[in-house]
Amino acid sequence: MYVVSGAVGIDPGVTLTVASGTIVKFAQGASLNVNGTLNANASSSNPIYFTSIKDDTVGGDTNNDGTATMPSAANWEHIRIASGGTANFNNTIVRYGGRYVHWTTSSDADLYNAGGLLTIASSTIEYGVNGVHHKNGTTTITTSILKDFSGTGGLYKVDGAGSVSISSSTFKNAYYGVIFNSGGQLSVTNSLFTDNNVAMNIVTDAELTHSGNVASNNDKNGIEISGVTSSNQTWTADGLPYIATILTIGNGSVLTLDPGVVMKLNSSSHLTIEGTLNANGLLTNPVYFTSIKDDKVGGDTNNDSNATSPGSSDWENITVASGGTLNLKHSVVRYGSRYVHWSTSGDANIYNRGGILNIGTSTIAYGTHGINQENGTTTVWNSHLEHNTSGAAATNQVTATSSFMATNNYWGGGDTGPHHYAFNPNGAGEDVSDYIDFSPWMSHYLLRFEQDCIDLQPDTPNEDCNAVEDRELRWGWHASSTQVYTSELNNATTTWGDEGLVAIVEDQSTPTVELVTDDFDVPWRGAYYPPTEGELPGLIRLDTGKLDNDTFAGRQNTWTHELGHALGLTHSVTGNVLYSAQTQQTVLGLQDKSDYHYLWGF
Amino acid sequence: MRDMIKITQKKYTFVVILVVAFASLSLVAWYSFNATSFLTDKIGLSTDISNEPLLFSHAQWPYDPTDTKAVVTNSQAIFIGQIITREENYSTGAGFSSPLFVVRVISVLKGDLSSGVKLLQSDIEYRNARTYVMEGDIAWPKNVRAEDILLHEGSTYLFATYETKATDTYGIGIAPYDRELITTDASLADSSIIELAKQNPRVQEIINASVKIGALNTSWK
Repeated sequence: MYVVSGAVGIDPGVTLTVASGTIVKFAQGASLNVNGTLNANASSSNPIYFTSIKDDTVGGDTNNDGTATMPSAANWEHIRIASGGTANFNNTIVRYGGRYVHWTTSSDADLYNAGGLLTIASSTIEYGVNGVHHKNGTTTITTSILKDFSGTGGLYKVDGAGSVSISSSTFKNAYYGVIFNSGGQLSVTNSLFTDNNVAMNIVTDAELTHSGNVASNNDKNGIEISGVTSSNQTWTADGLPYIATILTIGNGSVLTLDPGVVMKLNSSSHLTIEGTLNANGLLTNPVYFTSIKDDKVGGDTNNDSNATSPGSSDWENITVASGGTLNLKHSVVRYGSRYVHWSTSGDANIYNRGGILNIGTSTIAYGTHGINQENGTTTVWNSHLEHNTSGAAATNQVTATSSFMATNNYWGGGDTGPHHYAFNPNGAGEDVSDYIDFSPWMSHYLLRFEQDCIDLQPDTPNEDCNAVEDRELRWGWHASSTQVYTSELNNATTTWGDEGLVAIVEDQSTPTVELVTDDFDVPWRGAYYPPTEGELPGLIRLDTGKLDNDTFAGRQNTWTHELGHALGLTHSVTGNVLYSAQTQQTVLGLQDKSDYHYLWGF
Repeated sequence: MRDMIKITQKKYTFVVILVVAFASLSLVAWYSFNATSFLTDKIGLSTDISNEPLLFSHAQWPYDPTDTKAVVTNSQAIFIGQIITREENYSTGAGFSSPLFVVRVISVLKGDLSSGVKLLQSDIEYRNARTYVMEGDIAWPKNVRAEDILLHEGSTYLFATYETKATDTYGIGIAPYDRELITTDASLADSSIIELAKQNPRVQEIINASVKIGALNTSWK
């Protein structure tokens, strides 16, 4: 066993190797400054300890005081890795450090990377004021446990740069499991955060990559984030939602949210867009902006089980400033609208103060207003505005620079659509104010697609559901098929082709969907079989035994119906060719068109 | 040395016996499996598809099957029948086949049937070693199993059928509107089955619709 009683240094070019099973105890004021190399690589059965001289649990009663003194955080200073220094810890336990002396030389953490190369593997860092203080250099933590800290965090960074990589590690019982409060690169994967006040806290300058993490029983089970973005960033989904406090997308910067990102906000939170925010959700994996009380997505972020439930005005809003752009696709914005002050706040989930809103295939719900526009340009389409006191409101007079297009949306109220006192007084859906183009509206919000298609629209058709490849639906006759009802077929291909975006062409050599007609022993008129396991082509069967006795329009309806399947749509409601039963309808219905364009764009 | 040879020969003989026995047992097991397999696909191979992943195809019905009067009007025969056994799959064309059952006809609500018919369940189809389940206006749960959809031997159903091209063979394929389970109890007397059927809400719907369009056989009036 070794006792370090003062400041000990490892000079540049010098390597200190600590043998497995070695116990190093530090007296008050003692520290180890690594300018050279420190190798503390032990076996799992015989670890190395760096601990307090008061720690009698290993190496005996080194200070010979019986139980008169007990070890605690800040019993000694730290192991500091200076610029150019290297420290490797493997199966090592570091505890009770973090005594802070002076800001110019000291850190209140067990381990302090001031600019060197720090590697921690299969080790335990514990009982310090903080665990690992990263200021600069490179820190790598794998399969380790950082726990029981009295100060700021298991890993913290308040200034400096460099990179930190964390994987398969546990952060437990600190104020922050990880706090990364300045620029630099932070990678956190497959790690567990538990019993902390906040699982993670980062600033927008941090370049965070993360995946596979789990947070449980923290007061905030998520990644707290605040600040102003100054560079283009992409945020990805994880088991941990983002908890935005005061977040601004800075002028000139672009923040992209990947599918599945969940951003939660609390009563004093808002999001301001001066640059561009792209929320790129998918139908089955949307992007969410919601209340911290909303446990339905992102888990129980405020860790109160069912004690609180979300409601309107739980958080402020997404404000789009003049010059800002908000693009929402397959996103959900709900439970906002908390009104703070007329000069800064709009009682809406989304508040346009002069920017550009482009909202498609999204849900805006449970606010006072869904969208409130003071100025700017708003386009919202194929979206669902419901459970707001008022679905949309353009609060100011429309001017040449202000427009609010909101056609083809669902507002509740079924066929009757949204309510406008003058233009649609019988609408049973949500209210719309003046100066909003809301007609036509969707009478349903069904999103009728082949199950496996829905995540891949519009640019990456899925061969397991539709039969579209490279924006082409290439049909060809099956070799064994008679070729009948060709006029009806031509009409059907024209019907869909007129919608654009997907070319529907005959191709006998490389079809993406084959057609076969015969007198089958079946009860149906037509059937579509999607390509399976990525193997084109799909197949359309038509039963001539029954269709021969149908009308021209009936046969055209059947072709149109089956081609609709091949384009990725599934069964719809009456009034549409994708209705599950044959009709005489040969033109597309509103839902047919709506679903087609939802899938393939406009 | 001789003893060693004897021992080696004994081992060899023992191994041969084991191999032959194993092969025989395997053959017996294989035959037994095929003899009992109720999913013999005359186009594909004999494969029990009960645990195979299902694929979903999409049909356009000839009428609105949620309209019970339309179901009655468009049905060739409506009857209560008990599934006796399953036969070889029935080809419906274009490389597809569907399960075929022998059915004992217990009572006929519409049409004129013999006491025994065959029934084609065309909402399940086999092709190229794949199993398709036909969806119409309903969507099956993605974890649905073939055995959840297949008719069960011994069970009795009400069937609203379409006419196939084969003699004495009727088809169902518009799930769930053209079938209704009456009982899984194969030991019930026909009279008890009829009583159960009369209490069944779906059967009552069918009867009421049949009365309205004058299609109900006199024995049910």
